[in-house]
Amino acid sequence: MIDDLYRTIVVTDHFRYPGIDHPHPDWYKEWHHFAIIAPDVQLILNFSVCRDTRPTVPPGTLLGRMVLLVRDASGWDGDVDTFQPYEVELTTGRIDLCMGHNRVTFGSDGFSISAALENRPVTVRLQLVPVVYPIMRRRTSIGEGSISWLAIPRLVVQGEVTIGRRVYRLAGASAYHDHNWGNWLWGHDFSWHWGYALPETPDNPWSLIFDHLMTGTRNHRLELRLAIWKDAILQRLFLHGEIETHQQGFFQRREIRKFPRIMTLIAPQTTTDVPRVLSIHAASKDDYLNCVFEAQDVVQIAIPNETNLGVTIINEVSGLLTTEGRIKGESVAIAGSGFFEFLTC
Amino acid sequence: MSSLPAEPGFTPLLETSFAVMSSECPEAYQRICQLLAGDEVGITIDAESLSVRFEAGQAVVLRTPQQPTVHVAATKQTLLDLIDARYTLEHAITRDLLHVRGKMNELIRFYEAVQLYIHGAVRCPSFPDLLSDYRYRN
Repeated sequence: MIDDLYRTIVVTDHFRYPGIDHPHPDWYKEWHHFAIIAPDVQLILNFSVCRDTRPTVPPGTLLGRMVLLVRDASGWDGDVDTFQPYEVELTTGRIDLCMGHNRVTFGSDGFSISAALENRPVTVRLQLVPVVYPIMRRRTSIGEGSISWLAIPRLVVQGEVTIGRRVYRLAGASAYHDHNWGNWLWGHDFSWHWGYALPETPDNPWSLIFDHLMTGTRNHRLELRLAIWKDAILQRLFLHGEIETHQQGFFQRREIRKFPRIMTLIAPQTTTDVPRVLSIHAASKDDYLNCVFEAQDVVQIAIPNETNLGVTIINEVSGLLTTEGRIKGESVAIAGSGFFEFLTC
Repeated sequence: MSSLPAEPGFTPLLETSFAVMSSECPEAYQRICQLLAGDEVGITIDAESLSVRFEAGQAVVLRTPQQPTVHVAATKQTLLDLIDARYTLEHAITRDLLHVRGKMNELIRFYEAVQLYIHGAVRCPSFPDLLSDYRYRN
């Protein structure tokens, strides 16, 4: 990894807990999220912490949660494991988090991840090397709180994923990483569409991220961005009025896997409001991009609302993103797999 | 934090889970008690029989059922299979893995209470340990 990129990540991607002074410290949340796209296996991995608000625990105590979802020819597998405060070790100011026997750290050789689910035969050992500089955004208002985020659109992965007796060796697969932190409650008035794509050919220099934060009813925009990198460097950031989006149809599946699995009992519906096709057009002066995301599969992470007894669904949609355009006088062409997140509140 | 059940089985699990829920998700607990106030639900899990009587603001687990109006019977394995989404509630009922008996209006109320119980359970930080203990004992 480039020394400067390593140093940039060390000083920007570290754990923030307990964050800034906030009138609602109990709303604090923070996570490191990774997605890996290899030809024969895809993986979503999320390490999150939140405040434990039980009356009997000391203030500032953290609960941990690990989402580990894998998809291969057999479909989606995985689980969401939870960790009591005594199982969570987080080092503020560093990228170093342990939850039980699971760990994510960062060093000069990139992110090291070791994880194994409690009740499913899924284990991963991964080394993820960032090859692109991160983008960061601080304190976007969502609901009655705020969220900050950092994202790295492309990392190169080495390692091993084991699902039952199937072992996948990853050598040079592509990955995406983001880090979110802030104070808000699930159930507040917000939703998001968030996506990225990784080119099928590793020598394609372009990477991109799309984010669209909205109110829960999606009729008011809080943040809209489309960022594109060439090689390691951010080339163009389209904002708000420079971007138009258009949705076609709804993506339908006969069965949708939900995690944690128990949420299937209280959110059994198989309909979604995920668009079948999402088109994004961004233009400013001579630069423009046309992106088309076509949904191919969906898995749902169901989060109990903290404001009521409802549920927020994060639709993790895998699909194909094709992009064409022109940036700084150069033609852009990306065709590759990606994930888009669509929140249903 | 809650203490874990001192003995294996469904009865201590359910007793502890109501105590935990009343502290960690009182909204769900109170709504269950309100919905089923005056009702008694008989439960049989494998060879273990118990009932829960709902009073104003309180769920009381009875080790000897008295006069339940709704009856539920299943195996521990069926409960775990439902929790792990190996099949749906409809599948469990239509395949005779889960038996429910009662008047229609009572069953509808009971189903709503079960939904509230799960909504409460997934909001209680102490529940994963309770479930893990139940899952791996015996």
